[in-house]
Amino acid sequence: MNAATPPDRLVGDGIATHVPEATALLGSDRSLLYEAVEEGVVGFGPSHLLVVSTGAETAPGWASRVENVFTVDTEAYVRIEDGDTTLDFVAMGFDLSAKLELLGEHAETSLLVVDDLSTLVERTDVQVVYRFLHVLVAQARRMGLRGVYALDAGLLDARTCTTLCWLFDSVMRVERDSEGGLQTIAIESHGL
Amino acid sequence: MVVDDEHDVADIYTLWLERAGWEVRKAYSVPEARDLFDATVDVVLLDRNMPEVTGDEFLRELRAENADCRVAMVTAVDPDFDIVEMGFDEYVTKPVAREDLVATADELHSRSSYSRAMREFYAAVSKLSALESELPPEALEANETYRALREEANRLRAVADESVLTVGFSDGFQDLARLSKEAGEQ
Repeated sequence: MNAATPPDRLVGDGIATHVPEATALLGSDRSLLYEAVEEGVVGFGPSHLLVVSTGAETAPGWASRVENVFTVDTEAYVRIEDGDTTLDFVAMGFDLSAKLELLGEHAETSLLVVDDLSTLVERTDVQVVYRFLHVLVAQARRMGLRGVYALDAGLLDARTCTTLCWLFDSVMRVERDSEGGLQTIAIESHGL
Repeated sequence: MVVDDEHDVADIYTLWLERAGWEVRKAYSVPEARDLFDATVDVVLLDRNMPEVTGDEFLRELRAENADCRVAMVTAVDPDFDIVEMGFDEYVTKPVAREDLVATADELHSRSSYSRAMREFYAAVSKLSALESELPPEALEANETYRALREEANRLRAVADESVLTVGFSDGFQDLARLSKEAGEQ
């Protein structure tokens, strides 16, 4: 992926050729999802990248090739009160808002990657995650910023996946083909 | 709903809000407010210090009942650490100007509308997901009820997408904090 490639220069060869504003990527493990983004499933090489990470790594390895990378580590906002784990959405919202503002002028060539939703669902109530994503997707749309939202289907049940997928403009399943290459398949919300 | 034991204050708030297009219920005490309150109330503007029953107590009652409304404390009491655990949505210190009071009510109404829209959208999608995880696509497509539910979910999504624009990013996250706390308690 080359930095700052304009969004109309799409990657072919079995990879998606149209990129809606908010895309859910559904794969059986995180490495497959990382690879899909790296291979160009998003359709262009971003000049700026905002990674909302919910895992130990705050940005995937390939992000080092993007010139401007910003991260929001949701783990930093985990609070444990009376034995219950919650996320401090207000503090995280401030952080996200500030980082999104940094992308503002470059929205057309920027990319938002949320990696991944499955870990968020494990951290808090699915309805809360739903609201969080709806607000985030709306803000990204308002800015004209493309977003890729990774869903590790190995960690979530089919019902939760289907429910979450309603939030996005499109859903793509990422699979390994018989020759070891990546295959992306656009799917309807049912039949996940 | 306006709740304030100072009659002049409650009267003027009511007048301001009605002139701004609001339908207002007015109560001069918490017992009166209890009688007037029902599920159709979207926003409560609530004084803290009132004789007999305080506004803080009424707020606790509303939250304990999971009342689906937004509450602004409108009070002469300067905020202190005791507000940290209180379940209000806004804190407005008296004296308050007309435009600020109306803006507070409008903002809380937007958040309330968005919250309702999202809850309905989520409920419809949850039903669809339950059906889709159990039945094959061809059986679903042949079913009129299922198709109607999908249409309804699409309609509700459009409503939610539109109402989130009036709420804005930071207020959207403010509401999440409360939703998250309620989910934890449940």
